[in-house]
Amino acid sequence: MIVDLLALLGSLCFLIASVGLLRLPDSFARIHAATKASALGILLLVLAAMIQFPAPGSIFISLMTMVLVFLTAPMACQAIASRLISPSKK
Amino acid sequence: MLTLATIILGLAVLITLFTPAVAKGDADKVIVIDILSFEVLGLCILLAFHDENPLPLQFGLLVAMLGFLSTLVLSRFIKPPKP
Repeated sequence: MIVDLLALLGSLCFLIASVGLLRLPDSFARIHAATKASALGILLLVLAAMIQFPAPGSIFISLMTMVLVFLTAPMACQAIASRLISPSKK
Repeated sequence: MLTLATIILGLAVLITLFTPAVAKGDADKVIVIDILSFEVLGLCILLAFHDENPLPLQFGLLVAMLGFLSTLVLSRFIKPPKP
């Protein structure tokens, strides 16, 4: 039951992220919508996976996914945004 | 309820794929690829719930890694603004 609820909330976060991607006016605002809301959706879905599969291997994989997403989403956001702001030095 | 979650996530994927028709720019296409990798990761986790098998979680980890690398590489191709 709580697994289904967490999965539904995570999917709703993804829906909010994609609607924000469609409706926000600027590239910077779109980066904001894509990164934050989808990271929250991944957090909820991974929590549901950790509750559904309580074996140690599955919990390890889920934790690795969560740490990877929370480390790499701001880095990807920063790579796109820094490319948008300043000219590159070649 | 799991079916509803899958339908909502599929709708999110469709809306994301429709975005380049509205937002015409190099950076917007890279953002679309970034968020699509996260959505495919979510679909992998929902597939694990549906099959009651933890194997697709490992596919999700790989998809997250590949999405990050592809975003980093593709962001090199964004044209910077003229100073």
